[in-house]
Amino acid sequence: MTDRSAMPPLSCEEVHDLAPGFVLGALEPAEMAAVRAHLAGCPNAHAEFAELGGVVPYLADSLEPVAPPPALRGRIVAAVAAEAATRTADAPAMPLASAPASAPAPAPVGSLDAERARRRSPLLWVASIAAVLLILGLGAWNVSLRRDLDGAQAYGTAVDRVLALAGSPGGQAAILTPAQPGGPSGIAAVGSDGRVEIAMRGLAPTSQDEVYEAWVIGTDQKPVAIGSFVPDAAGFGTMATDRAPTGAGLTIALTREPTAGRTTPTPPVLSSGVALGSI
Amino acid sequence: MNPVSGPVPGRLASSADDADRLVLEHVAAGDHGEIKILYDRYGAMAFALANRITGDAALAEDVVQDAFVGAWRNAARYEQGRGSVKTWLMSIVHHRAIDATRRRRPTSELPEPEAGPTPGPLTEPDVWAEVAGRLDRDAVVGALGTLSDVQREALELGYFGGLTQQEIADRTGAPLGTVKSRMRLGLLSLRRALTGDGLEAAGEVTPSGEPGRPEGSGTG
Repeated sequence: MTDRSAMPPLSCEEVHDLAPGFVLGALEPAEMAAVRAHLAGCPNAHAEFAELGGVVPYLADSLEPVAPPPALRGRIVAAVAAEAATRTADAPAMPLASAPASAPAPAPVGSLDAERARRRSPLLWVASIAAVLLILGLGAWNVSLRRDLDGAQAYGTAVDRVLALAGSPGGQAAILTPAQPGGPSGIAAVGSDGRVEIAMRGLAPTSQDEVYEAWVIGTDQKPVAIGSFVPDAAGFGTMATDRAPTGAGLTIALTREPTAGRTTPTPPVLSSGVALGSI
Repeated sequence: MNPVSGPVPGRLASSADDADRLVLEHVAAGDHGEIKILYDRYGAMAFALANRITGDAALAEDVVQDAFVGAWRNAARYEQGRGSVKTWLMSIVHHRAIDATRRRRPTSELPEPEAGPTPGPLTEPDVWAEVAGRLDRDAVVGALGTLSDVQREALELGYFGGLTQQEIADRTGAPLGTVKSRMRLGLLSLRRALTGDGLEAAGEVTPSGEPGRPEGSGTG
């Protein structure tokens, strides 16, 4: 029964006997696996598992809550945002930040050691956003033309400003993903003081009075125009303001408008992302 | 199949758990920012649990981060019949914390990385849904107080200590069968104290245990 290396198939009685240890996670891995294997194929209900196990998670309630270090929240949000962005990069994005209904199979959990190594610096999550940008951008980013290179440099400078703002106290970052494949994408940062920096690429040329307008959508779902810009010849565009709404759960969205100064967006939303990372 | 997040029609967030489920649905639908809401609700409990199990605040941080990212990845796999979002989250934290603790012990085999301790095909009539909302720390501490010292010790060494039942037997000097019996009776008593549902427990006779035998004084 306690042989670590080999577990023969278990009888129902043996599984019943192991149930308390199983629900507490207090068995050897081989025993855990053998119990699982039995339950997966056993026609009997083995109600003792639910009966014994239902109470187990409540053991955690006996502990006095302990406030985690404040920076942990930002790291979790950034880790999720970074992984979400790489997923989005693999699949065409839906308008307004919705992932495909059938999410890809979860990646194996990275080792804790690797995780620890990555999180040593408080600003590392900004670096992880930058890494996501590389994943999002460089693969499809054609910089072979000189004008692209010039635009890319302006874009890169804007990205630096975005990252600086995102890394400021209370700063949040949003990765803007295109609503349609090939549409504009980029990154934005929202400061706690109302500043917003946006760097976009893949913008189609505008004509006459047309502009790209950036919107902040808060939890009330009302878009607020925060600034307009026109792209350069290579499709790069940047924008900055210090008068944007602040708060949590902001969505940054981009539309194309016939003129500057509109107060309601003209559909469709071309690119959008949710600001994350407030600490 | 509609991936657009938003309020689910016909569903009212009538309790904390319904609200949690709604948040988790949004997370599963791609609104990953909502993981913050779950963290704000349960981060302190998760950290307390991870800290208690690992005994190492830095490792506990890693565990909590790992657990919440894991919860985000697996949000679509959450099954409503298997318990509340909170207990689901705590199970993930617990599993990762035990995993992290055992990795530090060179002689121990590594647990399977993703399989949770909860058996797959089993669901329970929702006795917990009715009481979960009223369970607070005082209730659980009080319920633990109804256990004998050796029962409570067996549960705590297993759940918080990350020890296997054999290791608990070795440490306490009690026979393995006794440890199993203490765990079983302790869990049933705890369940009875928290839910008032003790009919099955009253007639519980374990094959290897010592039903009816009073557990003596604690193994100091």
